[in-house]
Amino acid sequence: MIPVIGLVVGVIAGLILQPTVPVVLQPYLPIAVVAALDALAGGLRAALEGMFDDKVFLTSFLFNILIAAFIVFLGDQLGVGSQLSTAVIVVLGIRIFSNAASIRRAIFKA
Amino acid sequence: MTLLTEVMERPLDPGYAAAARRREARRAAGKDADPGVPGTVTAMLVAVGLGLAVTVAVGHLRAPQPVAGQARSVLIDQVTARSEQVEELTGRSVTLAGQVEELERAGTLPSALRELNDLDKLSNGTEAVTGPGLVVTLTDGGLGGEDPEAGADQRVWDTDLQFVVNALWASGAEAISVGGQRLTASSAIRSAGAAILVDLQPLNGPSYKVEAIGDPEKLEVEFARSTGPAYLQVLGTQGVESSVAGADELRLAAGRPQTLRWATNVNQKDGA
Repeated sequence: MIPVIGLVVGVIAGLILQPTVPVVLQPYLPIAVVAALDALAGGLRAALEGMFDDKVFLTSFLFNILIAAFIVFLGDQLGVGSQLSTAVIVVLGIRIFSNAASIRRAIFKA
Repeated sequence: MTLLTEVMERPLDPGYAAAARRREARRAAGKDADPGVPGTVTAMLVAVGLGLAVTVAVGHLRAPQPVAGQARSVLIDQVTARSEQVEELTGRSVTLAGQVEELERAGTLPSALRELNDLDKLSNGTEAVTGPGLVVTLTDGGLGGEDPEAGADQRVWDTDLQFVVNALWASGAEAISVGGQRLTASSAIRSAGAAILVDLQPLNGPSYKVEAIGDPEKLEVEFARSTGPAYLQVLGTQGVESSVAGADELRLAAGRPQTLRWATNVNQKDGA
């Protein structure tokens, strides 16, 4: 429950404060959002399967974002930024889809 | 393929299963599963930070589009407003030209001068005229091709129209209009990209009509004897279709008079 409350507080704070993002960080935003979606889908599925864990959820959330950002950074340095971004999006997209399918099965039993 | 299989078949983080097993083990051992105050606080802080970061990221990613849309709608508004302005001013120009005409006819000018003025207007193309003549039509070949670069040879170019117009002038044409645009002494037929401009007004393809008023017989004979038909034949081998036809009555619109800003009449200058 703690991480969910924390996330909601963070989202509200973000909506109210509207801080500006440094230009340096801007290329990493899209992929960070997709990584966060992946972690959210994973957490939701775990909760529905009755094995949700605060620590695992938060670490997966944090590390998904950090690694996704790092891969984009690495890609930019190597000159293959867009290709690597595509690879990350594809992998995370597949994960989101299969987790979403599990969630759907858990909720609708179909 | 191990990686893809892993991704496809086990999308849930194995960490969840491991954590669940650990909890089971602890409960079986009879220990308290509560993470304690420091753990809860850390989890809370990390969660708040992550929520904040994701919200800011999403907010930032969504922000630029409204700005771009605004710029676009502002430009569209400007284009519409300016187009309306142009229409309004054109209408006003026509009305004022009519008034000028009326005033000139009202007898303020000596009749000799007025005749000279009318003649000038007629010959320099700033008055609508009618009369018999010749119509030369050039049509783009290879129609249906969307790509303007494809079949450049089959298209009508500004030089083609220039050639036809010059041949018609040489054949004794008294007034010529290209695609409805009357040619005056200072008219130019040019191209900008793939579009043909007459006096900076783009023409609508794929058919370009060159209308010339003059003695129909003389015009036809002289044009046939000029290099015009040979040129049209060359164009025909490249795919440009053309036709030359006589017309009993052509109506050519008035061209725009040139506005003189710096040039003044020599006699007036001397007199002043």
